[in-house]
Amino acid sequence: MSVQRVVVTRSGGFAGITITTEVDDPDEAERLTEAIRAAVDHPSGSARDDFVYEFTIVTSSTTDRIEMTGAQLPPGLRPELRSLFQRRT
Amino acid sequence: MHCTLVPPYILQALARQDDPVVRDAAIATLGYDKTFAVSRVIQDAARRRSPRTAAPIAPRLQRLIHDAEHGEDLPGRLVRAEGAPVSTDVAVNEAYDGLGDTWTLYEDVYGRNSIDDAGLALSGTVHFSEQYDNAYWDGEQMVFGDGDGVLFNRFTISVDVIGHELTHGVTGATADLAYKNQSGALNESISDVFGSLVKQYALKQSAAEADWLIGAGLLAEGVQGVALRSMKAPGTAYDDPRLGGKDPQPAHLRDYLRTTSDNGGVHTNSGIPNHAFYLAAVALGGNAWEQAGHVWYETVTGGALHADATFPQFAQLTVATADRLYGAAARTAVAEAWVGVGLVTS
Repeated sequence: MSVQRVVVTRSGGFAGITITTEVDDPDEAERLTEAIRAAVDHPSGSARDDFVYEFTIVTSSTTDRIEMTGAQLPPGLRPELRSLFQRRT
Repeated sequence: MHCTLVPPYILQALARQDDPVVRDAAIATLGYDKTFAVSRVIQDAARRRSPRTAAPIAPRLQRLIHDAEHGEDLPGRLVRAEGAPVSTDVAVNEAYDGLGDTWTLYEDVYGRNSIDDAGLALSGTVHFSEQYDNAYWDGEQMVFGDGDGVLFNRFTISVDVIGHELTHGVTGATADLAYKNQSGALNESISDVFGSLVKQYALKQSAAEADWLIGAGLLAEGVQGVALRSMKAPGTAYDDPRLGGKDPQPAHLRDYLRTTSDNGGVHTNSGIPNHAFYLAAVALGGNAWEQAGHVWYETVTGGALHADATFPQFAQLTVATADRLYGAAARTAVAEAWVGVGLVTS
């Protein structure tokens, strides 16, 4: 079942400001989903004021929600998410 | 990983020396990535001495500022240890000074020897990642981003941000409030309360004189707002579409935000206990770090506060603490402060 889009929400952080962006290119969404699923078992850490990321992964028939902390994010994904959020503004 | 010419076991032995010069140099080198471990080494050494013969160890400030150089490896390169000259890097100096101001409030006013009350070296890392709009406490040290320069300035700019992060360490070492829903909002509020008190104590401002803002100076030029939060008037710190609109903090329980984001809105609902502290401090009068600060400090560190505490439980405990420390008038003032945010205590 191919991924159609991924909605990314970042909340928390010291500022506590919530921002949302979306990846609607199916190839990009698929790649992002693979990276997220690979990182789910990374330790979430016990940081305070860390960001909280919520990924809503939408296929033609399912909607999955994955939450992870900033500490859990794979380093390679950080620049990509940064530019995604910048694109939004 | 890092390499030093002196093996770690020798540095650990040196860190136990009584000579402060030798000890500081060893701690600075070791503390590069092991502030907690170093603290344990020193405590263990102190414990092995006979308590009857050992002179009490005077609390000593021990700061270690690192530079992540826009990477994400912590703690990064040590750039300023305790007593080292002023850096040419403003973020390094702000972190150094802010850690000092925070340590001083806890030591001077509450008699607390660093965040663990056992002399833990304070470690902070500046220039974390790129365009990083955040500061956090990772369980062992503080981490500061430079901000994106468009919405946020560097996160060391506001001393209350530094006090906020360090206070997460104090809460973690004491009540260890669970970082979710109401206990999480209390955890956040306690960091804002003592973050603000660090600033007020450094500026010697009374409760009436203080601005009660969290993150003043943090919003970049052109952003509509004065800070990230206001304890005096939650919900009024900013109003800018680029920050998602208006400051969403409630000042009253009736406006409590139910959400799954941000661990259950911990940075939003903290506005309620924040405002209660402000009301209590103003009612008690004088300097907020005195009666109001002592009541909150004793409530957080006294051992009676549960990790899963709710707003009403916390409120009840502050009222009882006020009564115990300062008597009936203080009890009434604190109880009325909680009524002001919609919480009735018995």
